[in-house]
Amino acid sequence: MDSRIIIFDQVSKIYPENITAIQNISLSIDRGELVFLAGHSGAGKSTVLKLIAGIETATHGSVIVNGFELSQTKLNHRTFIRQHIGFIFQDHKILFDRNVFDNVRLPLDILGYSEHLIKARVAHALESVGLEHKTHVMPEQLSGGEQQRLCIARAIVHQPKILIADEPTANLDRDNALRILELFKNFHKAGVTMLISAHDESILNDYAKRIIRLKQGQFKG
Amino acid sequence: MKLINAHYRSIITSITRILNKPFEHMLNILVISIIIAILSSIFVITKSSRIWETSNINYPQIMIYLSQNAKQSDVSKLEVSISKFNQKLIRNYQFISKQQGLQELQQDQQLQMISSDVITESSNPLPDVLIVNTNTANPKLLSQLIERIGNMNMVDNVQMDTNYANKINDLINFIKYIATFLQIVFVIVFILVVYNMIRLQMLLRQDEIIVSRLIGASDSFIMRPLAYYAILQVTLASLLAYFLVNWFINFMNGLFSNLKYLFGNSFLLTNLTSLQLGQMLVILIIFTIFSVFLAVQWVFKHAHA
Ligand SMILES: Nc1ncnc2c1ncn2[C@@H]1O[C@H](COP(=O)(O)OP(=O)(O)O)[C@@H](O)[C@H]1O
Ligand SMILES: [Mg+2]
Repeated sequence: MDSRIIIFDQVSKIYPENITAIQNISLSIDRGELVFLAGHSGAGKSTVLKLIAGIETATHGSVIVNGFELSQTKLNHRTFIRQHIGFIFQDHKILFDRNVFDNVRLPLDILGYSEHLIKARVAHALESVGLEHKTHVMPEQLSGGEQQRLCIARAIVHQPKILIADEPTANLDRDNALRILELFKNFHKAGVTMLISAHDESILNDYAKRIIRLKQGQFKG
Repeated sequence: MKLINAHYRSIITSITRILNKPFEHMLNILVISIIIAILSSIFVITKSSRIWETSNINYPQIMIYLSQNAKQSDVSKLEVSISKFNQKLIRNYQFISKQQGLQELQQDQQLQMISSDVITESSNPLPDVLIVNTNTANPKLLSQLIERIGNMNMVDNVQMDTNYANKINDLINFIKYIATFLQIVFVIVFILVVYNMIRLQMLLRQDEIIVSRLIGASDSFIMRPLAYYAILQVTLASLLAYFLVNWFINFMNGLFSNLKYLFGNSFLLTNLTSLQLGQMLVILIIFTIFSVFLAVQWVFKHAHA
């Protein structure tokens, strides 16, 4: 089996109205690797992560994740990858019309799990982010850090092999941010391939395994 | 197993959605039930008028003139052939022998003068006649019938009042066209109402749909609970319509039986049976799924969900 789980081959992404988000990027990430994606706001971090998740498609070049080519025409590949990776969105994408439990179960519903298994998996996910006592609370009653952990619980509930976090520490104080990074370290230890973006590199110093730096859509240094 | 879970989950979701906001959904159900009530009323009225029509409209008569040298055995054979025709074509027939014809003629005051001198039993020029009462006004069926009878043994001549037949046929067709037209109109209204209801539901749940899509929900995952939601609404609306229509029928039949004293023959509406309701529901559910599909496609295309 190929040791590389994510491969970018000369990838560019041009958004409508000719906005070039990333330009001619090639990279590969091994299974079980922990990688940080650093760069200022607008550098193209979210775009790279969305390309890996099959949410956006490359304008040029190819993106291959776990052996699946994620081009515009391969919608079934992209749907499959979306279902099987965990994605922690920069803007959270929490559903405020339902409680914590019902937010976290969503990926399992999509995968068609039984009610019985869903209860067990959600409980386990909430426990691993320390939210087990908030199961039936509505999201607006959670603090910023708790909301971030809710997102993490939803991203790991189906036990994905790849976990992607888009600026998970951006809106948190240092204590909360360190707590989140600690969580990620545990997932990494358990063998999950992890990609984490951040615009503030200082927080990463203690954890840095491999840092990819982006500037205006290109690799820097 | 996964698919069964998914369907089970969708059904539960749609039931809870309705139970959570019963009044909001009651309005939808009411509107849909009125449309279904109108549709089934048209159905009942056309069906009842078909029953009324067969007992109250005189379909055209066919006169069969037999050959002069037809014997009694020929007449019997012909009667057997005629009685073999479908009930839908021929209601009954009546045989008038040449002797009967002569008697009738002789009873006619004005004709008596000439006939008594010229015509006697032994020199009766009248043919035997079979009068056939048909059971249809369809010109094509009638002309086929006339042709087949005309080719039979010992049949000299076949006649029918085509003008009358055409008039009856036009009237029946006109009513049918109006009924069909109205039914099509209300089926379209039904599809549009369901379509709009689903679009509204999707706009209300846009966040959920966007997030679900981002984490890999397929089109059918999004569509399934909406389809169940719509089917549930349409089923409840149909039940409501069933009671509405049957109440309306009983009310109208009360009115008609009063009018009976004025006009003689009564027009009665038949009740909508639960079997007919079931059949109609199956058809409506097909239309429902079709409009849900259209609505989902529209939202995916326009809302970037
Ligand atoms: N959907 C989009 N449509 C148009 N331009 C976009 C879109 N998403 C991002 N961009 C642009 O692409 C560039 C990179 O954005 P992004 O990947 O979000 O960077 P980062 O996450 O590093 O802040 C920015 O200039 C941004 O304005
Ligand atoms: Mg970003």
